[in-house]
Amino acid sequence: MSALHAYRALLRAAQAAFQGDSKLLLASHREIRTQFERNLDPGGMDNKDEKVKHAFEVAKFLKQNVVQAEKLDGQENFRLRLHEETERGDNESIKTPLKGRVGKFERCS
Amino acid sequence: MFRTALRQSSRLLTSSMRPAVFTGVRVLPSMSVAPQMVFGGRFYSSGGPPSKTDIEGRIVELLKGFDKITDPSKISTTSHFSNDLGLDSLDTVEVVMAIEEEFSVEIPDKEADAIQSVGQAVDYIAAQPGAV
Repeated sequence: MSALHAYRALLRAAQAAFQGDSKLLLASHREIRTQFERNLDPGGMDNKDEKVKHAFEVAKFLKQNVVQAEKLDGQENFRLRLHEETERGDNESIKTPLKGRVGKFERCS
Repeated sequence: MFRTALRQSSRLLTSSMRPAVFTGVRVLPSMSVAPQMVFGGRFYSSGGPPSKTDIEGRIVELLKGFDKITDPSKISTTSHFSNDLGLDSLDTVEVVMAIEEEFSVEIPDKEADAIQSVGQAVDYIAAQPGAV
């Protein structure tokens, strides 16, 4: 995995996540660029693999877990722009009872 | 497939009709009558893949708009992104992405890494059947 591949993946992810939102597109591009410049500097090369991995994870997050929403005119509702890669989880797990700790609640401090 | 069919059927048309069909020339109101209506394909956006000269021109134009290039006079069809235009590796990634967008293609990482000059970009795009 190379840093340049991560850079490309991140830019693509930002383009997908902030489609049509020029303000965010510009800001995200600038931020990605700054971070990469800092880390590609010979002084910032330690933990390179970790940083590259982090960049790929951010790209994945942008693609799967960020959705754009637009407030509908004169309503309280928003329209979400879900896309192909948006993560669609389910809450099936609520049907499986918790083991061991059922009925025992701890007080929040 | 559809495009090939269009190209084949274009050979059947008389040469006087061809320009209106394939070059994207705006059809004047007086022309938009019967004869051309026979061929619905004239609404198809462009006539096949772009030519090499066309690709070169578009890539050069695109580079002219790239603010990282300090000396636009150095932009030519043979320029190397880093050696001639002074771009760094991140800039090169951005240029290749802009080229992808311009020609509506997606270039896989490996092949994108190999594109380091205008000439290489032109060759790559010219070899892409899906480029527009």
